[in-house]
Amino acid sequence: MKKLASFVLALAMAAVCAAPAMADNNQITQESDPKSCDTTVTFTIAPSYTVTIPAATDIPFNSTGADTNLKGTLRLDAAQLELNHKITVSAAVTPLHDSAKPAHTIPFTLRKDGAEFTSVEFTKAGEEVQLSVHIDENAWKTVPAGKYEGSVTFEIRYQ
Amino acid sequence: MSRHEKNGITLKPIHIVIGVVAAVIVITAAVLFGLQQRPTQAESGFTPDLQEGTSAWSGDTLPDKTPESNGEAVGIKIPGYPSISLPANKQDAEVALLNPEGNPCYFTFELVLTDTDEVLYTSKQVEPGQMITNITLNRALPAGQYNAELRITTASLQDGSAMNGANVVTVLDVQ
Repeated sequence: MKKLASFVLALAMAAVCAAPAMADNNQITQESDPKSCDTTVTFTIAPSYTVTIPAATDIPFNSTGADTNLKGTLRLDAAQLELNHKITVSAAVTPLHDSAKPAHTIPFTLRKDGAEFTSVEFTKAGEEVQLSVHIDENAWKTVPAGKYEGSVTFEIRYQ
Repeated sequence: MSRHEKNGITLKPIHIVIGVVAAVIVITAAVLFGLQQRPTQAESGFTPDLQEGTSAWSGDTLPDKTPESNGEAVGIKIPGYPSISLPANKQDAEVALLNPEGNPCYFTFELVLTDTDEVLYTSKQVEPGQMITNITLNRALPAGQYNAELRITTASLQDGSAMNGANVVTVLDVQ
């Protein structure tokens, strides 16, 4: 099975990637003694990374017992970071709402290991966290039956 | 007596014709049945508004640390842009805005200056595996560095419904 093996090196990063530098007066002529000189080559690798965020998760109606894990983890898939740099990911949620009746909403929060999720820091590829959706019991009681959809926007910061 | 008749087989041309016709019917029915099982965008009433002029990504990739997931896409890959280089005083720029292959959604990119919330560029929808290579900014920027966000909104390939998205904090390096 074909693995999902395509990650991005931004062309702009790659375009500024290599910056070869050569010393002045690197010429060896018949009169040169010794007939050798040093050249300095500098290669700069621009940082680049890929973060995978959970896509979509179905939440059972009236689920109040255990939080519902998001389908898929939040993880740093590929990374080439500068030393002492990290990727910080936080999230903002859009409450579940009935598209036919936008006034009907079900608020929810994200949790990590049972506690409210605020942000996570990644420093190397492969690191991941499992997030879950928490909905208060009372939230279910205030809205009629229907199809509710919400979303999460993840803020990804390189620092 | 023919060789076939000697071996107990009597194959006449009509038998061959019947067999071929039957095979064609069976194959056609199977294909049509299979097509009907797959939900189509037309059935969902969703038609993507695709970005024109995209191209397939063919560059080098970073080592993949994605765990085995039996082939089912359970996440959305978001490419990172620590900084984006733009030409000074020009609206046209070469920037690679990629929707990684295998994603279950279209990407719409919006480049925004965070200090003023000014939108510099908005794309149409980009398919997985495709990238935008040339963009036209709403206005040219003088040289300098600008705090910005690349806001990525997503829409399901199946029915266009909104999926989770991402805001990639970046710096515009305008030279």
